[in-house]
Amino acid sequence: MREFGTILDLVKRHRVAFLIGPIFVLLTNGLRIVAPELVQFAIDFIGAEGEEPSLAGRAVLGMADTFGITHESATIITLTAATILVAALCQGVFQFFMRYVMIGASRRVEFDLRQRVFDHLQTLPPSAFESMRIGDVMTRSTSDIESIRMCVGPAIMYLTNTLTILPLCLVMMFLKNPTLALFAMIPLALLTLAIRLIMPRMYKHSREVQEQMSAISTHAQENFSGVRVVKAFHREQYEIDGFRKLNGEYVRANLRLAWSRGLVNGVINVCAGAGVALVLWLGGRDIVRGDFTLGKFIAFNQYQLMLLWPMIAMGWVLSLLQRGVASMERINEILAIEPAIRNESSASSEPIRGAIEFRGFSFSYGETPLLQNIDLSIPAGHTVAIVGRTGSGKSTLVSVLPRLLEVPRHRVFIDGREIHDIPLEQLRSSIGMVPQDTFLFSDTVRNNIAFGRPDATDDEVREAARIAGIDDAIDELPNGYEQMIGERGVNLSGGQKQRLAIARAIVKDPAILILDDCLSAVDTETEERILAGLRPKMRGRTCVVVAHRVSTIKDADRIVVIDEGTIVEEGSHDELVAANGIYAEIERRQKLEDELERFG
Amino acid sequence: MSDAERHDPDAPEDEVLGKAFDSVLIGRLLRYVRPHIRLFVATVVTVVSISALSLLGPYLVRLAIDGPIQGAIDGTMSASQAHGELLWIVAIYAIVLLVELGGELLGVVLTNQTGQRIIRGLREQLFGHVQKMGLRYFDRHPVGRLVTRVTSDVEALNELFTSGLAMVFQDVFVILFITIVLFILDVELALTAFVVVPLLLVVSEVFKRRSRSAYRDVRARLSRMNSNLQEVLSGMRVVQLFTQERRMSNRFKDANRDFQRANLDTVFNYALFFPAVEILMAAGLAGIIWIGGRSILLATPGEETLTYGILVQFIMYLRRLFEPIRQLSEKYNILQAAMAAAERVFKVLDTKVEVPEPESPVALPPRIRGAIEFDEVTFAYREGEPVIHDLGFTIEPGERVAVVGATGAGKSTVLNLLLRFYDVDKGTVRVDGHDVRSLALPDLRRRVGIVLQDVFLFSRSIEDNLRLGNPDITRERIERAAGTVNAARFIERMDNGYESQLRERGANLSVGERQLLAFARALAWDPEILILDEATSSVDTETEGMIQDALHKLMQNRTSIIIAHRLSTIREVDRILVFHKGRIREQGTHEQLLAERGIYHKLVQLQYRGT
Repeated sequence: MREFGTILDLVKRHRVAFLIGPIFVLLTNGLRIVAPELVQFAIDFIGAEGEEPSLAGRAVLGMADTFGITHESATIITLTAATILVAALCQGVFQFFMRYVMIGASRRVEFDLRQRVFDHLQTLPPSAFESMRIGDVMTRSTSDIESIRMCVGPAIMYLTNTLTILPLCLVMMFLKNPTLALFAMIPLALLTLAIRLIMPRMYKHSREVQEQMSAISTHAQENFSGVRVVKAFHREQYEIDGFRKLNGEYVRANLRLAWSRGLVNGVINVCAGAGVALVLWLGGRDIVRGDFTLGKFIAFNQYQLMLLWPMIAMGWVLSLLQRGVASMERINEILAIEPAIRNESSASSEPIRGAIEFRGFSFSYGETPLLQNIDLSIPAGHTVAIVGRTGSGKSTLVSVLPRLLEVPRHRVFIDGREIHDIPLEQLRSSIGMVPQDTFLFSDTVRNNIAFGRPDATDDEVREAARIAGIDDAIDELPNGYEQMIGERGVNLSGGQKQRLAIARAIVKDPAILILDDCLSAVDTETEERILAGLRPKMRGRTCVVVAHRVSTIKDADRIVVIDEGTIVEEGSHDELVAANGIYAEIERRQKLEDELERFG
Repeated sequence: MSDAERHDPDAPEDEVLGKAFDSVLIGRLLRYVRPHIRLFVATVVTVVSISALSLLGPYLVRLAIDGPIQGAIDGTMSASQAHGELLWIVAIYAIVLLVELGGELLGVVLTNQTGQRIIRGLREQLFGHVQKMGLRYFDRHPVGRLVTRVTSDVEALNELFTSGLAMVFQDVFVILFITIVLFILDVELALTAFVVVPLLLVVSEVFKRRSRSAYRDVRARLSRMNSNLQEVLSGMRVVQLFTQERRMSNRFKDANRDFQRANLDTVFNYALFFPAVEILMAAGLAGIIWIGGRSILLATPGEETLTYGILVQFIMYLRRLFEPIRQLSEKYNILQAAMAAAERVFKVLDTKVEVPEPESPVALPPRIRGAIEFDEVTFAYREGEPVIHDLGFTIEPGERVAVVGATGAGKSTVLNLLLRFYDVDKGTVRVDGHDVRSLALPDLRRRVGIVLQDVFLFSRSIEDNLRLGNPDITRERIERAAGTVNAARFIERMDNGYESQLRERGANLSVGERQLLAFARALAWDPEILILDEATSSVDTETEGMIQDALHKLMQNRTSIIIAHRLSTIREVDRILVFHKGRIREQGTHEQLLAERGIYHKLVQLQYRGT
C-alpha cells in the first residue's frame, strides 16, 4: 500500500467525504437490520401471544402507546408494516448518500490524479515520448487511473460495508440463538473460502480468454495487413485453417472459464441454500422443542441472505486492491520521471536580439556521436542555411536552440549569454520554429495559426497566412479561418500543413525563425512566393533554414554544409558551387530533377 | 449492500445503438442456430429446469413450517414425529441443493458451449469471406475496422447467445412461474406483492433511459478527453516550442472536468437506483406482512386460507422475482448491441467478392513457359484517375526485365494486375497466352512469385514464414533456398535457427535480412515467373552484395520482372522498360537507353548516383 503514498494528499483533499462516507455505510446497515427484526416481531406477535417481544417489537409497541393506538393485533401489524417501510425509506436515503459521497469522492480523486499526470507529462522533454510509447501513456492515464479509482471508491465502500454489516448481523443472530448462529455462519464462511479459491482460477481463465481473443485479433490484423502476401502465395485456405485453430482454442478457453463461472454460481446458490436448510433443520428442531420461534427463524433466514453479497464482495475487493497497487506503481513510474529540461533562470532580462553561437558543440544520442565540435556563429539578423544528408544532424543542431534537447553547458550562446541563463519561457517565445514533421491540432485554422499567441488579432492571423502563402487556400475552405482541420475536420495537403505551420511561427513575431526542412512538400513556385513574403518580415531577424532544395537556400547570407557530424563546407552559394564539393553535387541533382519534371 | 448491487455500474457495457429487435436480423441469426438446434434445446431445457429446481427451496421451507413445525406448535404432532418429518424435508432439500450445484454448472457450461459453437461458425465464415475479398476491398476498409468485425462485433453476438437468449428463457420462466404460483397460493397477497412490480418496471425503465444517455455522455467525453491527451502527447514538441503548457493544461482540465461531471451523473443515477429497488422490495415485504398478517389474524379458526408457511414462501419468492425483472433492461441492452453488431457483420458477409474466380477455369500444365503480355491495359485505383493508360508490352519466357520510372509512374500496378490483385478496367493481361481472368486464382498465383518492397513477415517462426503452410515445401527445400540466397547464415546465427520466432512484421530483423528472407521464400516456392519490387531503403555494402548475388540466382531460368531502384540490379537484366506517367516511354538495354539521353538517362543520374 506504500505505492499509494503519492496520492495521499489527493485523498486528504477530499477527507470530509472519506470520513462521512463510512458513517453513511454504518447508518445504512444499522437500518438494514430493522426489517428482519420487525418481521420476526410481526410473525411471533400473530402467533404466540406469550412470547417476549424483541427490541424492535417493544419499539413498535412503544410507538403505538405514543400515538394512542391500542395493542390490538391487526393495528399492531399495520404499524409494523408501516415501520418496515419507513425504515427502508430512511435506509434508502442513507444508502444514496453513501454511494454518492464515496464513489463521488473517488471520481474527484481520479480527476485530480489525471490532471497531475497530465501536467507532469507536459514538463517532460519531447524525447521522453520516444522511449515511452504514446499508446502506453494513454493506457496508463486511462485504465490504470481507473483501477486506482476502483480502489479509492468501490473497494473502500464495499470493504466498509462488509466490515459493518457482518458484525451487526452476527450480533443479532447470536442474541437469538448462539448455536444456530454458529451453524448459520458455516456455509457463509465456506462461501468466502470457496470464492477465494475459485476466484484466482477464474481470473486465470478469463486472462486466458483475453489472451486467446487477442491472438485471434492479432491473427486477423496480421492477415488483413499482409493480404498481398497471403493472396500472392494463395494461402487463403491455410490462413483460414490457422484462424480456425485459434478460434477453437478460444472456444476451449471460454469453456474453461464457463466451468469456473458455473462453479461460482453453483457455490453461491448452494451455500445460500445450505444456510437455509441448516437453519430449517436445527431451527425447526428448536421450534419443535419450544426453544425457538417461527419469527426468529425467518429473521435468521433474512440475515443470512443479507450477508451473502458482502461475503462474496470480500474476494472481489481483495483483487481490486491487488490490481490497484499494480496500477499505482505504473502511474508512479510516470510521476517519477524527472523533467530533464527545466527553467534555471528567473532573471527577467532584456529582449533577445538573435545572435547565435555554437562553441565546440558536440551531441550524441546514447553512445552514437551525432554532432562533433561544431563552431558556428550567426550574427543577429542574418540568414543561415544548413544543408546535409538525412541523418547528418541538421535537425538536432536547430532543436538545441529552443532547448527541446538537453544542451551541454557553455557550448551554446544566444546574444552572448549562456543558453541556460535565459529563462526557458523567454527563450522559447523568442524563437519561432517550424519543425520538420508538421503537427497541427484538430482545431480551427485560426486557432492553429494563433496557437502561440491566442490573443492575436484577426489581421495578424491573416497577415501571417499571407506571408506563409496559405491565405488563398484558407479562403477557399468552406468555413475559411473557422474551418476545423484534422481528425474532425477537413484534411489538408502536406504542403498546406507546412504553410500553416509557418504562419503559426510567424504570428509569434519571433526574434529567431527556424525553418527545419519545412518546405519539402510545396512546389518550387509556392516556395518562391513564401520566401519572397518572408524576406521583408524577417528583415533584422535571425533566420536558420534547414533545407534540401537549392532554391530555398541560395539567397542565404551563408550556407553551412554538415556531413558526418561536422561542418565540411561553409560560404555563399556561388562560393560553394565553385568549390565543387557536396553542395555543388546537390545543386546538380536539383537541376536534373527540374528537367525531369518538365518531361511530358 | 444487497444482492441488487451485485451488478456493479463500473462493469464495462457495450456501446448501444439502434433497435433491440429486428425480425429480419433475428431470422438470419437463427439460421446459425439451426445446425446446433439439439444442443440449443437441451440448453434451454436444462436452464429452465434448474431455475424450476431452485424455486423448490421456498416450497420446502413452507412444507416444513406448515407441516412438522406448525404441527408441533399446535400439538397435533408429537415432537419426535415432527422432528422425523422435518429431517425428511431437510434431506430432500439437501438433495435438491446437490442437484442444483451440478445443474447450475451444467447450465452455464451448456449455454457457453452452445453460444460458442454458433459463434465459432459465424466467426470463421466471416474471416473466410474477408479473406476472399479483392484488394480493392482492403483499400477501402481500414484493417482496424475489419478486425473489429471479426472480434468485438462477433463477441457482441456471442453475448447474445450465451447470456442473452438462454437467460431470457430462464428469466421469463422464473417470472411466469413465480407469478402463477403466487396467484394460486393467495390472490389477495399476490396482488399486494404485485403492486410494487409496475413500480419496479417504471424505476428500471427510467434508470435504463437515464443511464443510457449518461453512458453515452461518459463515452463521448472520455473519447474527447483521450483524443485531447493523445493530441497533446503527439504534439508535445509544438506545445513546448510555443510555451502553451498552461493553456493546454487548462484545456485538458475542461475535458477532464466534463468527463468527471458525466461520471458523477452516472454515480447519481446508481446511487438513486439501488436504494429505490431496495425500498420497493421493502414495500413488497411490508405489504405481505400487513395483508398476510391481518389475514391470518382475522381468519376464523378452521377456515384459514393463509398459513405461515405460505407467508414465508411469499417473502422468499418476492426476492426471487425482483432480480430478473430488474435485469430485464440489462438484457435489452445486450439484445440491442447484438442487433447492431449483427447488422455490421451481415453487411460484410453480403459484400460480393470483386475479383471472382472464373466459372470454368482454363487448366494450366504443370509447368508453364512464363510468357507475359499486357495488351492495351488501362487501370485506375480510383475512378477517373487512371494510373496506367493503354499499356502494352510482352515479355518472353525466361526474359529478365526491369521496370523503372519515377514514383507514381505506375510501376507497381504491373505487379497488381499480373497477380490479379485487381482486375483491369480495359485491355487484357495474359500469361502464356491465357487471359488471367480465365485462370483459377490459386493456379495463377502459384506460378508467380513476388517479393514486395515492404517485406511482410508474420509473427511466426522463420520456417513458417518461408513455408507459409505449404506441405510440399520440405525443411530441406527451405534450407537449400535460404542457403542459395545467403539467408542461411543469419538464420543459423539466431537462437533457434529456423524455429526462431519473428516479431510483428519481422521487427527483430534488419531491412536487409527481411529482404533475404523474402527471396528465400520466393525461391522455395519455385515459381515460373518472378516479380520483385525492390526495396528503396538503403542497406550496408556487405548486405547489398549478398542481396545482389541472391537476386542473380533467383532470376535464373525464370521470367523476371524487377521494379528496380538500384543501378546494380538494372545491369543484370535483358531489357529495361521506362515508365513515365502511366505509359512506357522508352525501352531497351541500359546502354541503348543511356545513349538516348532521355528520361532513363535523367533517372539514372538522379536515382543511381549514390548520394
